[in-house]
Amino acid sequence: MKDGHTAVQSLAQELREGQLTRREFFRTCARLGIGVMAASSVLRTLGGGTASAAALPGPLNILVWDDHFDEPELKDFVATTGVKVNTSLFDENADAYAKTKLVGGRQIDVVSGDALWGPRYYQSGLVDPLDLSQFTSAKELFPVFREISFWKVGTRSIMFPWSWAPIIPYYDPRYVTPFDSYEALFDPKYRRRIVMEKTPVDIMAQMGLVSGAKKPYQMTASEVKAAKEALIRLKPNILTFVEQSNQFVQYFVNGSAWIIANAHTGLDYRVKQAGGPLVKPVYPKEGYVGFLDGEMVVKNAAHRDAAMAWLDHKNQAKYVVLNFQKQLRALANEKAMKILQQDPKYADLVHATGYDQPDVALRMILKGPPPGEGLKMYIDAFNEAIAR
Amino acid sequence: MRAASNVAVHISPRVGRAIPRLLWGLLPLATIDVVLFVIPMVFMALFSFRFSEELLGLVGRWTVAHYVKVFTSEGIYLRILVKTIVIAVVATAACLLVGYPFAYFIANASRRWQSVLLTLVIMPFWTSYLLRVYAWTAILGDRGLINEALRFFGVTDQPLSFLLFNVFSEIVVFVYLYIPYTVLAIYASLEKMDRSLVLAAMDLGATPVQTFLRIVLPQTLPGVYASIVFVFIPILGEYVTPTLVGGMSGVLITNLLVNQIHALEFGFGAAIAFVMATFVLMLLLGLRRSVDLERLYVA
Amino acid sequence: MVNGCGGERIVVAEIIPHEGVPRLASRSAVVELRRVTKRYGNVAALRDVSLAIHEGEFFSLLGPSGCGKTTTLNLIGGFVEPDGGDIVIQGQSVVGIPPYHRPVNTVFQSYALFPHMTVAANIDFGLRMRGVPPDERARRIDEMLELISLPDFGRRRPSQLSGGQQQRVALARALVNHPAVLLLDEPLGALDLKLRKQMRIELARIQRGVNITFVYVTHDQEEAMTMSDRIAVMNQGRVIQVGTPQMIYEHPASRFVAEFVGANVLDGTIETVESRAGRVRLDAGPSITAVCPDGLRPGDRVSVVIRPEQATIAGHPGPGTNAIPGQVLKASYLGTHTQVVVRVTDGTEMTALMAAGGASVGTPAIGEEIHVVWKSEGSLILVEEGSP
Repeated sequence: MKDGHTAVQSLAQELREGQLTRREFFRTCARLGIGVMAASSVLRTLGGGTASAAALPGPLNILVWDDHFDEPELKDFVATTGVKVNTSLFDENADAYAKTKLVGGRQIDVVSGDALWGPRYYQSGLVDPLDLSQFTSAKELFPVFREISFWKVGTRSIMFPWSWAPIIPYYDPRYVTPFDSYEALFDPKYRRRIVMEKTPVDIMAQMGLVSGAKKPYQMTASEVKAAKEALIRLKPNILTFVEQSNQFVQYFVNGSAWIIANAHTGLDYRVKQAGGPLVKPVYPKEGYVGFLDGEMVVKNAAHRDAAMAWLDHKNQAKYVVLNFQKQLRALANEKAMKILQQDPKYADLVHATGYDQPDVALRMILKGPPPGEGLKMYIDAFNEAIAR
Repeated sequence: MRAASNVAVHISPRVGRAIPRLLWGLLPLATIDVVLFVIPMVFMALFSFRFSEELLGLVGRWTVAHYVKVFTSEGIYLRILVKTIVIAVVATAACLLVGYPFAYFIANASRRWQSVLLTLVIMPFWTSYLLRVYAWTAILGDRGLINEALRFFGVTDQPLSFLLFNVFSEIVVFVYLYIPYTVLAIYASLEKMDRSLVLAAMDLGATPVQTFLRIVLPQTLPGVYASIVFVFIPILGEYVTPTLVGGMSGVLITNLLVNQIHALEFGFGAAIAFVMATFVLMLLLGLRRSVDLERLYVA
Repeated sequence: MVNGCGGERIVVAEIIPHEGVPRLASRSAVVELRRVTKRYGNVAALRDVSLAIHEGEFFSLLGPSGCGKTTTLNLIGGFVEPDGGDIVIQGQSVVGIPPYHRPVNTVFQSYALFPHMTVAANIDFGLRMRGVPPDERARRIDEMLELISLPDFGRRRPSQLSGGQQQRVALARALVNHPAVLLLDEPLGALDLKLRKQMRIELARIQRGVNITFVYVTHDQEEAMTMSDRIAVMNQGRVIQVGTPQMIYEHPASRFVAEFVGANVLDGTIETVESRAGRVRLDAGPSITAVCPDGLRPGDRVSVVIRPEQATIAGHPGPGTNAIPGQVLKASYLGTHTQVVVRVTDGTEMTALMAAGGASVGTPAIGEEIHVVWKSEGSLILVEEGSP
């Protein structure tokens, strides 16, 4: 608030004295805007700051996906370090990226992100690469995840890897004949029977695969156009988009969806658990996109020490096990996988989700931001397709 | 403040003291208005005219490209904007058609029944908005209340899938969500109306229908207008309902706008919003002129 | 169209004051109530009421609040339906016929002018509803505005008029339809005293001008007396007496009527009866002589009615006059006469009017011991209510 306040004062003064250039005016306005947008998290920070005499300066502000942490580890962390954790959730990479860009390390210490968004964060100067060897729990990772090339900056890694999964279609075999190509989704007999998560960029990438784009996240204008045509063609078969992938289960359970076109692995088990049919995954021959995500520490994080402690804490195998049991998708922690393999209840699942085959993660077409004007092009095309 | 005291000198000492006091009284309101409304609006207006390579960059060049894009882009934004307005008009009209008789019924009920019925009207507000929209997927869905009932009574063997995820379900949910505002606004204006006017009209030979059209309806037009404002405008900005029950055919302008905002196209998003706001403003001004509130309230 | 008849009767030029000119009251009844009963829940608002209101007369329903006069009006207007009996207007039963099909119009206590219409549109409303042709409507509106002396007010809104002007517009709005009967529900109640007195004259003038039957509800006996051709005095849902103002005033049928029209009433017992004169021993002490109806015998309980203008006060009553001692409570000088309120020996308050420049000189002092005196011919013996 203090920053916002002084910014207002100086802006007013400069306006009075006629010294303000246009460029400066906008820069100052942007700073003011940051102040306004950050107000709520500041208030939370103030509220949390009085909690207790902390061993580390806190509180810790994390901007994360809701499947990246669980209550037990949060509780344990507060108990052992005395640092209070303020969690903010987000849906889309772009959203978190914008917030981080706006408020930076003052308001956010740790941010989650997808594979190729990491380099974007780093190139924009928003995050500090991590020396994974400093973390005890990083030793529990599969070696491949410690050495992901696009995250490497010298010996450091932009992200602390967390989880991964292919994004693939699932179908209800009671109504759908087995298929191995995206083309099946366009069959008129599946009219209003497909449900998808509303992830415009990834849907466009998937449509790119359908229409033969080589690099679905770096499509050219004409490839985007072809992908858009594919989405328009698919539209009659789409019943609805859902905002959260956890809503998929109910559509299979109540029978209104026959195909979920962009679920991540483990859906079959979650549907079965919820009393639904045994749905089947499809790994389409055209390829499939996938996510590989992790956490980043924001540049100039106000509570950097707490952020490092948190990452080390939450990536411990015992918590990763809990997370797998809840989310049923592959993670980057090898030790947790080995624990789960010993458990007859989860051994099969470890294999089914690909948890034991980390090399698959790196063969997927990984989520990332389309470069430059690409994002704009993808969204425009998506809007044009759904508005038609 | 100086201006105010100058004026005061020319009027009278008593008025002179009253003016600054009035201004002080308005200060909190004005502050809230400026901070929460004017400043963000100015920001969005600036965004809508800036073009920047940088995500969220305000530093760039002035441009009307965002507005040009609203009016081009294969016409989708204009088309969806018009569609949104049409759906909002239909939903508002449905709210009035259903809500007016209900408000009339409440206003004519006994005092005790009035309070019971009004409580029922506002009861939905006790639960979360999101939950109420979700509830409709449970009512209209393939395994929803209606389809299960139809199946139970042997009317259908296949669920009626046209009940959910289309414009129809979208309008149904809009009407459900916004009808309390219609009922309350119209009820308030009915309550305010002098009941002897109805007796007088009937005494002068007006049938009940004529009495309603020529006396009751004109007398309650302010309430009708208020309910239109309360219902029509929020529906134009509806995002959740089209997302949850609109399916592919129920996409409204805000859905497109949100996609752009999520892609950090603040400038374009702002341009869509301002074009929409201009449309709405013109519509409401037109409505206001046709209703002519002045005439109803001339002192 | 039901009461659209008789338009030719109104010719403004013919409206001349008829004050004091005896009217040829037509004997044909335009409204008849035959043994009408109305209950609200357990409360009987009207009990077995029969009334005949004659064509063209100014008929008042007079009584205290709750006596049933407004219910009677609403029954004629059709706003409530009777529980028993019949209501006949112009020879036809109107029971079950809604207000908008009755040849009756009402002037409401609150005027009930339509605020969203001009004065002219208000007056036009009934004509429009009954499908009168536009030319005729315009003519009749002008006539009416002329009649109520507001010729240039047609384009104004009701809210721009004074109370008295609104009242006249309400009257015009009803009269323009040439109803068989005009119902007026305490129309002057909302006006101040001075305006009320003016409007009484105005109303009587208008009624004589248009020659329409007026049924006028009021609780103000003076109002009823000054305007009406005939009055029905009502109490507790019954009609107590029907007659001309003079008859009601000079020959009240009961103690209630006498008291309601402002007469003094003293209780007593018959001592002797000689032809038309009865000697009554008052409960307050003295014996007096008064005009006696037939059929009374010594020992009967009676009430003696003495009208204020027939009583006066004297220090020492002369022989041969009726007198009762008392104490002056109040004396008000009213110009043409002085009104004296006296408490007599049994506690009853009596009012006497002393003509200015009459026998007694000056205004009596409060607390002065005096006698109220009156002539035998000026008082009337009534059988006490509840006695045979």
